Amino acid sequence: MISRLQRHWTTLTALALGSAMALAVVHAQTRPRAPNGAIGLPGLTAQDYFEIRELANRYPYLIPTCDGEAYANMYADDGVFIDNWSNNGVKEGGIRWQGREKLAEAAGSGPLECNKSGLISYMATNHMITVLPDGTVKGTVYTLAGGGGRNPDVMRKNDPYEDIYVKTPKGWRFKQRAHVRDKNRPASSYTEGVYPMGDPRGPAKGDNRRLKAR
Amino acid sequence: MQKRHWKILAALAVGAVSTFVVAQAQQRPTLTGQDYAEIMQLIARYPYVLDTCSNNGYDYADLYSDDGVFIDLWSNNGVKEGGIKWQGRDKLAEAAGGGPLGCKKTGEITHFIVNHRITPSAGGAVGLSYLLSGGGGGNSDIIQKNDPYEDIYVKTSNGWRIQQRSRVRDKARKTAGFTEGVYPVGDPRAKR
Repeated sequence: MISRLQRHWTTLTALALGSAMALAVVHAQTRPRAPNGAIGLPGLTAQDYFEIRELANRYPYLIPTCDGEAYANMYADDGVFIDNWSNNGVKEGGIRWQGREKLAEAAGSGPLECNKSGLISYMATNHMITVLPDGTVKGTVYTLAGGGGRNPDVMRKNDPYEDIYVKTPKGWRFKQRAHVRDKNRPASSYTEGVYPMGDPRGPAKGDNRRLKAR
Repeated sequence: MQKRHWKILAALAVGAVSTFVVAQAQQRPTLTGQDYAEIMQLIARYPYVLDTCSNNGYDYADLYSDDGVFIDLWSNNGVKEGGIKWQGRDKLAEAAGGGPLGCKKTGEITHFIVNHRITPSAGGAVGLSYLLSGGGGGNSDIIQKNDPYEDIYVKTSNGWRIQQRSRVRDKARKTAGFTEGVYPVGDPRAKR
């Protein structure tokens, strides 16, 4: 057997050489990967991108459930939600919910005792992420909502969220999420808007307008 | 001696061919997570630059590769012609309503893209997405189904770009009202 192998060593070597050459050719044909130069994503890894998307996709599920703690967890420690959409919000130049308790309240929990049905009514679309030259990661998400023609099952346009994301030790979080109006949309029906509990601009204690508004 | 050389050459050839066949079979087109992220982002950007006509339509044109083309296979004229093409940066800007058309849009976002499917291909990737748009029941706020986009993506030195985007009809949809469609400025067919 050994002598037979010795006799064919040249053949075996040639086989191996041929295989190696073919492998090298195949490898060279593999499409080269250009450095990250895509629109809107310089410096973000795929992991970053999908974590940010996941954050935004999680949002519509938490709002109707009044899970204030989970909602607040989506924000950085100094994170803030700004209502720049409701009539009061626009009038005030933005009503802010900042800090875990206030953010939980913005989701309808805490002192507001969750007055929601749990129906998922917001759909997040067109999530565009942009990295500014200074490294700030911004996003725009357009929401569609139930309630077109007063039917909760008919989707209508809502308006955008404008976000700033930040990477924390716990992962990507909202540093700021602002609900804004699509300025180019014809005048729509906006809610009056509510103020955080205890805000002197808001209704007096016991006034349940803020519950209804949500 | 000659016989021995013949053997070596044959073995070389057999080894090369068999390895090549196996390697090619294993080498299906693939995309990295980064590729998927960048292609998704390209399409997420689409509605904003199209509807706002930003930078006189050139932000829209920049979503395409240098040889990129938009094909209208959706409007009545587009279907009749077998596709009306906008190719080249200036024509793509025009397709977004800019360039010589001067961006007369309101800027209201009316395109909402869902169900974006990306499939690796030999040249890069192909994609399919479905458009929802405002205008249901004649109300610009009510969302209605529109129709799909069929895409071909290519990785350029500037990142992923659209090489071809075709707006097509969902053939199974029976209830749509299609627009007549327009031709690029200067296209002689527009005068017919």
